[in-house]
Amino acid sequence: MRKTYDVIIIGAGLIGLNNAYELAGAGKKVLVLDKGDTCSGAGGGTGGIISWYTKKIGFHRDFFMLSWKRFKELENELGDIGLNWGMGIIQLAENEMEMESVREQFAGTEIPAGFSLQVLDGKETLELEPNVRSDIYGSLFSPNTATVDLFPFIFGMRKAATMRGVEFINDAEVLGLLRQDDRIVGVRSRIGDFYAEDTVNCAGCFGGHISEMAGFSLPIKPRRGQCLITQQMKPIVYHHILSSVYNVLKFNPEAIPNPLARERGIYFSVEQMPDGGLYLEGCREFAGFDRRPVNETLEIIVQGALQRYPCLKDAILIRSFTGLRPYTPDGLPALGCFAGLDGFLMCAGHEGDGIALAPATGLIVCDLLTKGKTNRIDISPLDPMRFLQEQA
Amino acid sequence: MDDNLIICRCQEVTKGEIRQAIAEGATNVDGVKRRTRAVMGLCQGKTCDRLVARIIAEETGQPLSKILPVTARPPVRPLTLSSFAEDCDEENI
Repeated sequence: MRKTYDVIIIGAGLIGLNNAYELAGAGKKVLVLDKGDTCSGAGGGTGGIISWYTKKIGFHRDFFMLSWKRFKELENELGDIGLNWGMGIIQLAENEMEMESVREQFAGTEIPAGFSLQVLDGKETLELEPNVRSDIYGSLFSPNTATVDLFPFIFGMRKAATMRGVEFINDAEVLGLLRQDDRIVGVRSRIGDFYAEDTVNCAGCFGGHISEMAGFSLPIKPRRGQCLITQQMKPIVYHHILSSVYNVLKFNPEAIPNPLARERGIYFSVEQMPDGGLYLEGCREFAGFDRRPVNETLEIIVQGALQRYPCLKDAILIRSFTGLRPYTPDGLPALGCFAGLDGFLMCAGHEGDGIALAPATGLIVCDLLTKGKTNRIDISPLDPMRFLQEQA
Repeated sequence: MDDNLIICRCQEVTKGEIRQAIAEGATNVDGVKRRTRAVMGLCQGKTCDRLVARIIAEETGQPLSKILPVTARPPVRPLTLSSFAEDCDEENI
Protein backbone atom coordinates (compact mmCIF):
# COMPACT_ATOMS: atom_id res chain seq x y z
CA MET A 1 0.00 0.00 0.00
CA ARG A 2 1.54 3.28 -1.01
CA LYS A 3 2.13 5.97 1.55
CA THR A 4 0.35 9.26 0.92
CA TYR A 5 1.26 12.52 2.55
CA ASP A 6 -0.73 15.72 2.91
CA VAL A 7 2.17 17.74 1.53
CA ILE A 8 5.39 16.97 -0.30
CA ILE A 9 7.93 19.79 -0.16
CA ILE A 10 10.65 19.82 -2.79
CA GLY A 11 13.74 21.41 -1.26
CA ALA A 12 14.94 21.18 2.35
CA GLY A 13 16.42 24.67 2.45
CA LEU A 14 15.25 27.54 4.59
CA ILE A 15 12.05 28.12 2.63
CA GLY A 16 11.09 24.45 2.58
CA LEU A 17 11.92 24.13 6.28
CA ASN A 18 9.74 27.06 7.35
CA ASN A 19 6.88 25.75 5.22
CA ALA A 20 7.27 22.25 6.69
CA TYR A 21 7.40 23.55 10.25
CA GLU A 22 4.25 25.65 9.92
CA LEU A 23 2.32 22.97 8.01
CA ALA A 24 3.21 20.28 10.54
CA GLY A 25 2.13 22.66 13.29
CA ALA A 26 -1.26 22.82 11.60
CA GLY A 27 -1.52 19.03 11.65
CA LYS A 28 -0.36 18.22 8.13
CA LYS A 29 1.66 15.08 7.34
CA VAL A 30 4.69 16.44 5.52
CA LEU A 31 7.51 14.86 3.52
CA VAL A 32 10.51 16.97 2.51
CA LEU A 33 12.73 15.76 -0.32
CA ASP A 34 16.06 17.28 -1.22
CA LYS A 35 18.46 16.30 -3.97
CA GLY A 36 21.19 16.70 -1.38
CA ASP A 37 20.94 17.85 2.21
CA THR A 38 19.70 21.00 3.92
CA CYS A 39 22.10 23.85 3.04
CA SER A 40 23.31 22.33 -0.22
CA GLY A 41 21.63 25.30 -1.87
CA ALA A 42 21.63 29.02 -1.12
CA GLY A 43 21.63 28.46 2.64
CA GLY A 44 25.07 26.92 2.47
CA GLY A 45 26.67 29.94 0.85
CA THR A 46 25.53 33.13 2.47
CA GLY A 47 25.45 35.25 5.61
CA GLY A 48 22.28 36.33 7.32
CA ILE A 49 21.18 39.93 7.67
CA ILE A 50 17.55 40.77 8.34
CA SER A 51 17.14 44.37 7.35
CA TRP A 52 13.98 46.45 7.05
CA TYR A 53 15.29 49.55 5.32
CA THR A 54 16.44 47.73 2.19
CA LYS A 55 12.87 46.61 1.52
CA LYS A 56 10.80 48.74 -0.84
CA ILE A 57 7.83 50.50 0.73
CA GLY A 58 4.54 48.81 0.07
CA PHE A 59 4.14 45.11 -0.37
CA HIS A 60 7.83 44.25 0.06
CA ARG A 61 8.10 46.08 3.37
CA ASP A 62 4.79 44.65 4.64
CA PHE A 63 5.91 41.13 3.74
CA PHE A 64 9.13 41.78 5.64
CA MET A 65 7.30 43.04 8.75
CA LEU A 66 5.19 39.87 8.82
CA SER A 67 8.44 37.91 8.88
CA TRP A 68 10.09 40.16 11.45
CA LYS A 69 7.29 39.46 13.94
CA ARG A 70 7.37 35.74 13.19
CA PHE A 71 11.14 35.62 13.87
CA LYS A 72 10.49 36.70 17.44
CA GLU A 73 7.82 34.07 17.85
CA LEU A 74 10.08 31.37 16.38
CA GLU A 75 12.76 32.31 18.85
CA ASN A 76 10.25 31.78 21.67
CA GLU A 77 9.11 28.46 20.20
CA LEU A 78 12.50 27.04 19.30
CA GLY A 79 14.89 28.66 21.77
CA ASP A 80 18.20 30.05 20.59
CA ILE A 81 18.20 30.05 16.79
CA GLY A 82 21.28 32.18 16.35
CA LEU A 83 19.52 35.53 16.15
CA ASN A 84 21.42 38.66 17.14
CA TRP A 85 18.86 41.44 17.44
CA GLY A 86 21.32 44.18 18.24
CA MET A 87 23.80 43.86 15.37
CA GLY A 88 22.73 46.91 13.38
CA ILE A 89 23.83 47.86 9.89
CA ILE A 90 26.23 50.65 9.03
CA GLN A 91 26.34 51.67 5.38
CA LEU A 92 29.55 53.58 4.75
CA ALA A 93 29.86 56.84 2.81
CA GLU A 94 33.44 57.26 1.62
CA ASN A 95 33.18 60.34 -0.55
CA GLU A 96 30.87 63.29 -1.09
CA MET A 97 28.78 61.49 -3.74
CA GLU A 98 28.11 58.57 -1.39
CA MET A 99 27.34 60.95 1.49
CA GLU A 100 24.82 62.71 -0.72
CA SER A 101 23.25 59.38 -1.70
CA VAL A 102 23.06 58.40 1.99
CA ARG A 103 21.20 61.65 2.74
CA GLU A 104 18.83 60.96 -0.17
CA GLN A 105 18.27 57.42 1.01
CA PHE A 106 17.46 58.65 4.49
CA ALA A 107 15.08 61.30 3.19
CA GLY A 108 13.34 58.77 0.98
CA THR A 109 12.88 56.05 3.61
CA GLU A 110 9.64 55.69 5.49
CA ILE A 111 10.59 54.63 9.01
CA PRO A 112 8.07 52.34 10.72
CA ALA A 113 7.18 52.74 14.39
CA GLY A 114 9.79 51.24 16.68
CA PHE A 115 12.56 51.46 14.10
CA SER A 116 15.18 54.10 13.53
CA LEU A 117 17.55 55.24 10.81
CA GLN A 118 20.25 57.84 11.29
CA VAL A 119 22.69 59.76 9.11
CA LEU A 120 26.02 59.92 10.94
CA ASP A 121 29.03 62.09 10.23
CA GLY A 122 32.59 60.79 10.18
CA LYS A 123 33.22 61.30 13.87
CA GLU A 124 29.97 59.59 14.90
CA THR A 125 30.73 56.68 12.56
CA LEU A 126 34.16 56.23 14.11
CA GLU A 127 32.59 56.13 17.56
CA LEU A 128 30.55 53.11 16.50
CA GLU A 129 33.26 51.55 14.35
CA PRO A 130 36.64 52.69 15.68
CA ASN A 131 38.59 50.53 13.23
CA VAL A 132 37.03 51.82 10.01
CA ARG A 133 39.20 54.11 7.84
CA SER A 134 39.84 57.31 9.75
CA ASP A 135 38.85 59.54 6.82
CA ILE A 136 35.34 58.09 6.59
CA TYR A 137 32.82 60.76 5.49
CA GLY A 138 29.87 59.32 7.36
CA SER A 139 27.30 56.58 7.23
CA LEU A 140 23.70 55.48 7.30
CA PHE A 141 23.05 53.62 10.53
CA SER A 142 20.13 51.29 11.20
CA PRO A 143 20.31 49.95 14.75
CA ASN A 144 17.21 47.76 14.45
CA THR A 145 18.48 45.23 12.01
CA ALA A 146 19.23 41.71 13.08
CA THR A 147 21.68 39.15 11.95
CA VAL A 148 21.33 35.41 12.18
CA ASP A 149 23.94 32.71 12.51
CA LEU A 150 22.56 30.69 9.69
CA PHE A 151 23.49 27.12 10.53
CA PRO A 152 21.93 27.14 14.03
CA PHE A 153 18.81 28.71 12.53
CA ILE A 154 18.45 26.34 9.60
CA PHE A 155 19.30 23.16 11.46
CA GLY A 156 17.25 24.31 14.44
CA MET A 157 14.25 24.61 12.08
CA ARG A 158 14.97 21.19 10.64
CA LYS A 159 15.13 19.61 14.10
CA ALA A 160 11.96 21.39 15.20
CA ALA A 161 10.17 20.26 12.05
CA THR A 162 11.35 16.69 12.65
CA MET A 163 10.01 16.85 16.20
CA ARG A 164 6.66 17.89 14.73
CA GLY A 165 6.65 14.72 12.65
CA VAL A 166 8.00 16.03 9.35
CA GLU A 167 9.89 13.36 7.41
CA PHE A 168 13.09 14.34 5.64
CA ILE A 169 14.81 12.34 2.95
CA ASN A 170 18.21 13.53 1.71
CA ASP A 171 19.72 12.54 -1.63
CA ALA A 172 16.25 12.12 -3.16
CA GLU A 173 16.33 14.30 -6.26
CA VAL A 174 12.93 14.90 -7.83
CA LEU A 175 13.05 13.71 -11.44
CA GLY A 176 9.47 14.37 -12.43
CA LEU A 177 5.98 15.18 -11.20
CA LEU A 178 3.16 12.62 -11.11
CA ARG A 179 0.07 13.93 -12.80
CA GLN A 180 -3.54 12.89 -13.13
CA ASP A 181 -5.43 15.14 -15.60
CA ASP A 182 -5.06 18.66 -14.21
CA ARG A 183 -3.73 17.67 -10.86
CA ILE A 184 -0.24 16.98 -9.54
CA VAL A 185 -0.61 13.97 -7.25
CA GLY A 186 2.98 13.45 -6.25
CA VAL A 187 6.57 13.24 -7.40
CA ARG A 188 8.93 10.76 -8.96
CA SER A 189 12.25 10.89 -7.17
CA ARG A 190 15.60 9.17 -7.56
CA ILE A 191 14.56 6.76 -4.80
CA GLY A 192 10.96 6.16 -5.80
CA ASP A 193 7.51 7.70 -6.14
CA PHE A 194 5.73 9.62 -3.41
CA TYR A 195 2.14 10.84 -3.34
CA ALA A 196 0.50 13.85 -1.71
CA GLU A 197 -2.56 16.11 -1.87
CA ASP A 198 -0.26 19.08 -2.43
CA THR A 199 3.28 19.44 -3.70
CA VAL A 200 5.23 22.61 -2.96
CA ASN A 201 8.17 23.72 -5.09
CA CYS A 202 10.77 25.18 -2.69
CA ALA A 203 13.71 24.32 -4.88
CA GLY A 204 15.30 27.77 -4.89
CA CYS A 205 17.70 28.07 -7.81
CA PHE A 206 16.21 24.89 -9.21
CA GLY A 207 12.70 26.29 -8.87
CA GLY A 208 12.49 26.91 -12.59
CA HIS A 209 13.71 23.41 -13.36
CA ILE A 210 10.91 21.93 -11.21
CA SER A 211 8.25 24.28 -12.60
CA GLU A 212 9.22 23.09 -16.12
CA MET A 213 8.15 19.63 -14.99
CA ALA A 214 4.73 21.13 -14.32
CA GLY A 215 4.72 22.60 -17.83
CA PHE A 216 5.53 26.20 -16.88
CA SER A 217 8.67 28.18 -17.69
CA LEU A 218 9.70 30.62 -14.98
CA PRO A 219 12.65 33.04 -15.20
CA ILE A 220 14.29 31.93 -11.94
CA LYS A 221 18.03 31.81 -12.35
CA PRO A 222 21.01 31.52 -10.03
CA ARG A 223 22.85 34.72 -9.13
CA ARG A 224 26.22 34.10 -7.60
CA GLY A 225 27.78 35.78 -4.58
CA GLN A 226 31.38 35.24 -3.52
CA CYS A 227 32.45 35.17 0.11
CA LEU A 228 35.57 34.88 2.26
CA ILE A 229 36.26 33.88 5.85
CA THR A 230 39.18 34.80 8.08
CA GLN A 231 40.59 33.10 11.11
CA GLN A 232 38.98 33.94 14.44
CA MET A 233 40.07 37.37 15.69
CA LYS A 234 39.55 39.67 18.64
CA PRO A 235 36.64 42.13 18.16
CA ILE A 236 37.35 44.52 15.29
CA VAL A 237 34.02 45.04 13.52
CA TYR A 238 31.00 45.71 15.70
CA HIS A 239 28.14 45.91 13.19
CA HIS A 240 27.22 44.57 9.80
CA ILE A 241 29.11 46.89 7.45
CA LEU A 242 28.01 47.63 3.92
CA SER A 243 29.55 49.86 1.30
CA SER A 244 27.22 52.38 -0.32
CA VAL A 245 28.12 50.81 -3.64
CA TYR A 246 25.69 48.02 -2.68
CA ASN A 247 22.74 50.36 -3.04
CA VAL A 248 24.11 52.06 -6.14
CA LEU A 249 24.44 48.59 -7.68
CA LYS A 250 20.82 47.87 -6.97
CA PHE A 251 19.29 51.09 -8.25
CA ASN A 252 21.80 52.91 -10.45
CA PRO A 253 24.52 50.52 -11.68
CA GLU A 254 25.69 52.80 -14.53
CA ALA A 255 27.09 55.19 -11.90
CA ILE A 256 29.77 52.69 -10.88
CA PRO A 257 33.13 53.80 -12.36
CA ASN A 258 35.05 50.52 -12.40
CA PRO A 259 33.84 48.34 -15.31
CA LEU A 260 34.83 45.07 -13.67
CA ALA A 261 32.97 45.97 -10.50
CA ARG A 262 29.93 46.98 -12.54
CA GLU A 263 29.94 43.80 -14.61
CA ARG A 264 30.31 41.49 -11.63
CA GLY A 265 28.20 43.53 -9.22
CA ILE A 266 31.08 43.79 -6.76
CA TYR A 267 30.46 45.51 -3.42
CA PHE A 268 31.92 45.27 0.04
CA SER A 269 30.44 44.00 3.24
CA VAL A 270 31.92 42.58 6.43
CA GLU A 271 30.52 41.11 9.59
CA GLN A 272 32.32 39.54 12.50
CA MET A 273 30.74 36.19 13.31
CA PRO A 274 30.03 34.91 16.83
CA ASP A 275 33.23 32.84 16.85
CA GLY A 276 35.33 35.89 15.87
CA GLY A 277 35.97 35.07 12.21
CA LEU A 278 35.31 37.83 9.70
CA TYR A 279 32.88 37.17 6.89
CA LEU A 280 33.56 39.25 3.75
CA GLU A 281 31.44 39.69 0.66
CA GLY A 282 30.64 40.09 -2.21
CA CYS A 283 29.23 40.35 -5.64
CA ARG A 284 26.07 39.62 -7.62
CA GLU A 285 26.76 38.03 -10.97
CA PHE A 286 25.25 35.55 -13.37
CA ALA A 287 27.48 32.52 -13.91
CA GLY A 288 25.03 29.69 -14.39
CA PHE A 289 25.43 27.03 -11.74
CA ASP A 290 29.20 27.42 -11.48
CA ARG A 291 30.09 27.56 -7.79
CA ARG A 292 33.81 28.01 -8.20
CA PRO A 293 35.10 31.31 -6.74
CA VAL A 294 37.06 33.53 -9.13
CA ASN A 295 40.42 34.63 -7.74
CA GLU A 296 40.31 38.02 -9.44
CA THR A 297 36.95 38.84 -7.87
CA LEU A 298 38.04 37.57 -4.46
CA GLU A 299 41.14 39.77 -4.63
CA ILE A 300 39.01 42.82 -5.43
CA ILE A 301 36.72 42.09 -2.47
CA VAL A 302 39.74 41.71 -0.16
CA GLN A 303 41.29 44.90 -1.56
CA GLY A 304 37.96 46.58 -0.78
CA ALA A 305 38.12 45.27 2.79
CA LEU A 306 41.63 46.67 3.30
CA GLN A 307 40.52 50.03 1.93
CA ARG A 308 37.79 50.31 4.59
CA TYR A 309 39.56 48.48 7.43
CA PRO A 310 43.31 48.97 6.94
CA CYS A 311 44.03 47.15 10.23
CA LEU A 312 42.96 43.90 8.55
CA LYS A 313 46.10 43.65 6.42
CA ASP A 314 47.47 40.85 8.61
CA ALA A 315 44.15 39.05 9.14
CA ILE A 316 44.47 35.44 8.03
CA LEU A 317 42.27 34.24 5.19
CA ILE A 318 41.22 30.59 5.56
CA ARG A 319 38.36 29.96 3.15
CA SER A 320 36.43 31.26 0.19
CA PHE A 321 33.13 30.00 -1.15
CA THR A 322 30.21 31.04 -3.27
CA GLY A 323 26.46 30.96 -2.96
CA LEU A 324 23.87 30.74 -5.70
CA ARG A 325 20.74 32.70 -4.91
CA PRO A 326 17.47 32.35 -6.87
CA TYR A 327 16.95 35.57 -8.82
CA THR A 328 13.74 36.73 -10.45
CA PRO A 329 13.40 39.74 -12.76
CA ASP A 330 11.30 41.79 -10.32
CA GLY A 331 13.11 40.82 -7.14
CA LEU A 332 10.14 39.03 -5.60
CA PRO A 333 9.59 35.29 -5.28
CA ALA A 334 6.99 33.31 -7.20
CA LEU A 335 4.47 32.13 -4.62
CA GLY A 336 1.15 30.72 -5.69
CA CYS A 337 -0.51 28.35 -8.09
CA PHE A 338 -0.34 28.04 -11.84
CA ALA A 339 -3.59 28.57 -13.70
CA GLY A 340 -5.35 25.34 -14.51
CA LEU A 341 -3.12 23.13 -12.39
CA ASP A 342 -4.18 21.78 -9.00
CA GLY A 343 -2.06 20.25 -6.28
CA PHE A 344 1.09 22.27 -7.05
CA LEU A 345 2.30 25.41 -5.30
CA MET A 346 5.25 27.52 -6.46
CA CYS A 347 7.39 28.91 -3.67
CA ALA A 348 10.80 29.96 -4.95
CA GLY A 349 12.81 32.95 -6.12
CA HIS A 350 13.70 34.72 -2.86
CA GLU A 351 17.12 36.05 -3.90
CA GLY A 352 18.60 38.43 -1.35
CA ASP A 353 15.60 37.99 0.92
CA GLY A 354 15.49 34.28 1.58
CA ILE A 355 16.39 34.58 5.22
CA ALA A 356 14.37 37.71 5.93
CA LEU A 357 11.22 36.42 4.25
CA ALA A 358 11.34 32.72 5.18
CA PRO A 359 9.16 32.94 8.29
CA ALA A 360 6.45 34.95 6.52
CA THR A 361 6.61 32.54 3.58
CA GLY A 362 5.93 29.67 6.00
CA LEU A 363 2.86 31.43 7.41
CA ILE A 364 1.45 32.18 3.97
CA VAL A 365 2.03 28.69 2.55
CA CYS A 366 0.41 27.17 5.63
CA ASP A 367 -2.62 29.43 5.16
CA LEU A 368 -2.86 28.54 1.48
CA LEU A 369 -2.74 24.80 2.07
CA THR A 370 -4.99 24.71 5.13
CA LYS A 371 -7.56 27.40 4.29
CA GLY A 372 -7.15 27.90 0.56
CA LYS A 373 -6.23 31.56 1.02
CA THR A 374 -4.40 33.98 3.28
CA ASN A 375 -5.73 37.10 5.01
CA ARG A 376 -2.36 38.27 6.33
CA ILE A 377 -1.32 40.13 3.20
CA ASP A 378 -2.38 40.45 -0.42
CA ILE A 379 -0.02 38.08 -2.22
CA SER A 380 -1.02 38.94 -5.77
CA PRO A 381 2.41 40.60 -6.37
CA LEU A 382 3.86 37.09 -5.92
CA ASP A 383 1.60 35.38 -8.44
CA PRO A 384 3.81 33.07 -10.55
CA MET A 385 1.55 33.74 -13.55
CA ARG A 386 2.92 37.31 -13.70
CA PHE A 387 6.01 35.93 -15.43
CA LEU A 388 3.94 34.15 -18.02
CA GLN A 389 1.83 37.01 -19.35
CA GLU A 390 3.54 37.06 -22.75
CA GLN A 391 3.17 33.33 -23.06
CA ALA A 392 -0.50 33.31 -22.07
CA MET B 1 32.23 5.09 24.94
CA ASP B 2 34.55 7.33 22.96
CA ASP B 3 31.97 10.02 22.27
CA ASN B 4 34.11 12.55 24.14
CA LEU B 5 37.06 12.10 21.80
CA ILE B 6 37.85 15.37 20.02
CA ILE B 7 37.85 14.76 16.28
CA CYS B 8 38.05 18.32 14.93
CA ARG B 9 40.80 19.95 16.97
CA CYS B 10 40.42 23.44 15.49
CA GLN B 11 36.76 23.70 16.45
CA GLU B 12 36.84 21.17 19.34
CA VAL B 13 34.08 18.98 17.93
CA THR B 14 33.68 15.57 19.58
CA LYS B 15 32.85 12.20 18.12
CA GLY B 16 29.55 12.30 19.97
CA GLU B 17 28.56 15.57 18.29
CA ILE B 18 29.46 14.14 14.91
CA ARG B 19 27.39 11.00 15.55
CA GLN B 20 24.52 13.28 16.65
CA ALA B 21 24.79 15.23 13.38
CA ILE B 22 24.54 11.98 11.44
CA ALA B 23 21.50 10.96 13.49
CA GLU B 24 19.95 14.33 12.60
CA GLY B 25 20.32 13.76 8.88
CA ALA B 26 23.91 14.40 7.80
CA THR B 27 24.88 11.92 5.09
CA ASN B 28 28.26 13.34 4.06
CA VAL B 29 31.11 15.47 5.40
CA ASP B 30 29.41 18.72 4.31
CA GLY B 31 26.33 17.77 6.30
CA VAL B 32 28.40 17.09 9.42
CA LYS B 33 30.37 20.29 8.80
CA ARG B 34 27.29 22.51 8.69
CA ARG B 35 25.69 20.94 11.75
CA THR B 36 28.77 20.95 14.00
CA ARG B 37 31.26 23.43 12.50
CA ALA B 38 33.79 20.60 12.18
CA VAL B 39 36.15 21.11 9.22
CA MET B 40 35.44 24.89 9.30
CA GLY B 41 38.43 25.89 11.41
CA LEU B 42 41.93 27.03 10.63
CA CYS B 43 43.12 23.80 9.02
CA GLN B 44 39.93 23.44 6.94
CA GLY B 45 39.72 19.71 7.50
CA LYS B 46 43.33 18.73 6.75
CA THR B 47 43.34 16.93 10.10
CA CYS B 48 39.76 15.78 10.52
CA ASP B 49 38.02 15.49 7.11
CA ARG B 50 38.92 11.79 6.68
CA LEU B 51 38.23 11.09 10.37
CA VAL B 52 34.74 12.57 9.97
CA ALA B 53 34.28 10.53 6.79
CA ARG B 54 35.26 7.36 8.63
CA ILE B 55 32.70 8.03 11.36
CA ILE B 56 30.04 8.55 8.67
CA ALA B 57 31.09 5.25 7.07
CA GLU B 58 30.81 3.46 10.42
CA GLU B 59 27.45 5.00 11.30
CA THR B 60 25.74 4.72 7.93
CA GLY B 61 27.37 1.70 6.34
CA GLN B 62 28.43 3.70 3.29
CA PRO B 63 31.86 2.66 1.97
CA LEU B 64 34.56 5.17 2.97
CA SER B 65 35.65 5.52 -0.65
CA LYS B 66 32.23 6.93 -1.55
CA ILE B 67 32.33 9.68 1.07
CA LEU B 68 33.82 12.63 -0.74
CA PRO B 69 35.90 15.30 1.02
CA VAL B 70 34.64 18.85 1.39
CA THR B 71 35.05 20.84 -1.84
CA ALA B 72 38.51 22.35 -2.16
CA ARG B 73 38.46 26.16 -2.41
CA PRO B 74 41.12 28.88 -2.37
CA PRO B 75 43.26 29.55 -0.41
CA VAL B 76 45.12 26.27 -0.42
CA ARG B 77 46.60 27.29 2.89
CA PRO B 78 46.10 30.32 5.17
CA LEU B 79 47.66 33.63 4.19
CA THR B 80 47.21 37.29 5.13
CA LEU B 81 44.64 39.46 3.38
CA SER B 82 47.39 41.80 2.20
CA SER B 83 49.32 38.93 0.62
CA PHE B 84 46.19 37.62 -1.02
CA ALA B 85 45.39 40.99 -2.60
CA GLU B 86 48.93 42.16 -3.35
CA ASP B 87 48.60 41.70 -7.11
CA CYS B 88 45.25 43.43 -7.30
CA ASP B 89 45.38 46.67 -9.29
CA GLU B 90 41.75 47.67 -8.94
CA GLU B 91 41.09 50.62 -6.67
CA ASN B 92 38.15 52.28 -5.01
CA ILE B 93 35.64 49.56 -5.64
